[in-house]
Amino acid sequence: MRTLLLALSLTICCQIWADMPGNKPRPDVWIQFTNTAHFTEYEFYYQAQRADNKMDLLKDTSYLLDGGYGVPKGAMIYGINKKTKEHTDTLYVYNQRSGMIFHLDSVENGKMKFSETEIPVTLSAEKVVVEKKENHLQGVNMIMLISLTAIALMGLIAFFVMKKKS
Amino acid sequence: MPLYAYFAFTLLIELPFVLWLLKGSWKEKLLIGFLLNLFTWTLLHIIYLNTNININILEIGVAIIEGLGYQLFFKNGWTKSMLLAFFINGLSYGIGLWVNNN
Repeated sequence: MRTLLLALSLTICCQIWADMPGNKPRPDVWIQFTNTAHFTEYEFYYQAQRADNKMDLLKDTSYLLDGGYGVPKGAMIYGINKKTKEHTDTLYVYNQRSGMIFHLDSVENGKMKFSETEIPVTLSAEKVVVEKKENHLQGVNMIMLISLTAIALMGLIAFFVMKKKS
Repeated sequence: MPLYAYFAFTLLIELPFVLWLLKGSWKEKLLIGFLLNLFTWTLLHIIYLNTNININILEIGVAIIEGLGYQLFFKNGWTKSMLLAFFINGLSYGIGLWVNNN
């Protein structure tokens, strides 16, 4: 009976947990940079959140911003003047459910000016699908994994308790 | 290959060794082996996908948890349980690496 009550209470907890707001999955989106190569006196860097603190040289290409859960994930972009070694200001980009193209218009007094264009959601989504096929870990249903972990743990606890009693 | 197919292959590799090398009824061994693998496999993916912890360290953690589980349920001795857990997890991880790199 106690085992049953334990299993029931854990199931109820999981059910409550499943309805918690603010943790819905967000799709991955693409962001693209253009015209940075035009500014030869600068080196631009790109650092995605949670990417081993690794900074990559920014190229005029597309980058995939992880969707994830809860707080939107993002990336930061800044430049360093090759001669003076002075840093520019930093552009912070966050996953906002649609892709963006950032066209670098100018760098004046250490300030970068970008023109921003939204990428149509369909185009962004198509690219994400291609990416997901290449990596089997993309698009994993986290709620499903958490539920399975809880079920397995519940089963182990229930079996352990039953075994102790017998 | 869908993600859950990897779990099925993990079971196919690990469960025969659990059935063969541990003492106890085969039904218990099958059930506990399945539940322990389900628990560690999903937990590993949750941690792996949400942190930057090295996968090798996570695999060591998985082997320790499974070894602990086998000892708690079957009491075949700590050394045997841990050796078995490290061996079968090393084997399934090694085969997984080999399959993914070929």
